Amino acid sequence: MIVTQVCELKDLLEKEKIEIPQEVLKKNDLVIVPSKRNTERPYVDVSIVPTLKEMKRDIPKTEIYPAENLEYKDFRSADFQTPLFIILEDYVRPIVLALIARWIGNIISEHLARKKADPENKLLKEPAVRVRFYQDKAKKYFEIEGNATAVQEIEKDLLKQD
Amino acid sequence: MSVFEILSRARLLARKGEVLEAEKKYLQAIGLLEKEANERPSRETKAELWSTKAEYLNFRASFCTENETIDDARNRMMESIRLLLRTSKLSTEYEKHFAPALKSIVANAILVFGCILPEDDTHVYVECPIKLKNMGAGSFGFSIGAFSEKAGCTICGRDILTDPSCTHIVGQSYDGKMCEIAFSGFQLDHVSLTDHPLDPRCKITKLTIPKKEFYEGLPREQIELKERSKLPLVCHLCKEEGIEPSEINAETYFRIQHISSEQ
Repeated sequence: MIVTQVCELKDLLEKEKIEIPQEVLKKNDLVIVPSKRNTERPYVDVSIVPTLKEMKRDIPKTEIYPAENLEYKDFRSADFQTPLFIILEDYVRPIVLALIARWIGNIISEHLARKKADPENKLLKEPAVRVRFYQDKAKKYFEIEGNATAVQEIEKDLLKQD
Repeated sequence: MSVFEILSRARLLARKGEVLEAEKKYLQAIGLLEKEANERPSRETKAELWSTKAEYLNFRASFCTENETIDDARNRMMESIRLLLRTSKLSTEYEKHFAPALKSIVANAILVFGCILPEDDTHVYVECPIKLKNMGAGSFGFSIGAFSEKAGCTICGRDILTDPSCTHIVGQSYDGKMCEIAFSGFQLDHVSLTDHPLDPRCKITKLTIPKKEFYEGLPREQIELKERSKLPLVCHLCKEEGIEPSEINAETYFRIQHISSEQ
């Protein structure tokens, strides 16, 4: 499932109860907004940490905000979610989408390997993935949710679009 | 008459239903094979002897004489499976050769005699994957939820994500050392029972049910007969529900009944 919404960044942040200083938005090309635990402590999923690190390498003006007291969430259920990506410059979009597509690809590969090793196991279900990003120039917010293969397909389609 | 000819005769008589005559021939063949195995002990002579004994016991489990009970027949069937399992462990070649026979004899044992549900004074133990699924336990697995304070870089020790001075990338090699993440400051959040654990091996493999609770689901006459005759608690789920017990191999067959697979 994909939800697309045209909105101003300030409205989205207000709705999501996220406060980001203007200077952070001005000086960066990509801002990664972690989810919050009990609406307090920010966290990111452990599985996506290497991908976020690659984003920081490929997009020099990247900031995780808020990063203070950041925690790493490791819930061993087959649900994965990305932080909210605020894409402030257009060149960032294909890099972010491609890296997320590869992250989902790894999730699918791990799932298939487990399925091959234990084909009879009924508990083996394809993981669910939730991806969120906002394109500042286009004023568009995207939320993609579903099983990993479906989300990856949507991701690939979006990657082909401008 | 060679052992092969005697065995062929025994099989023919068994097929015709002349069970007592067939038994004599089987025992004659086993006697000759035992002698051979004693005189020329080798893997081949052992395999011939054990697999023939297994065949005989399997045949012998198909009927009871006057003073025999269903338990005698079940024990013979189990002994037959043990012998075939032992034979198949002699080599990978034997394992491959006897696999179809072993699978078929285990399925037959389950469908004809059922499986013994182990119990002690207070509890009944369910370990059969088919029974577990039937009781709903197979639909859930365990999952933990935890948070870590730090994602440390194994090259420089700094937090890999929040410390800007760490420029290392996970999976890349630096002076022959691979960059990985060492999560630390681990805080367990919860343990949950879920229908989609990340690791599907974290499933329920055993249920320990209070005896009173388990017996409440059985017909009163069945419990009385069982206790009066000191019979084991037997599960006939596969037979009653028409389930092909293909997922139960010989090792599992013994394990779920808390019975040794060794002689």
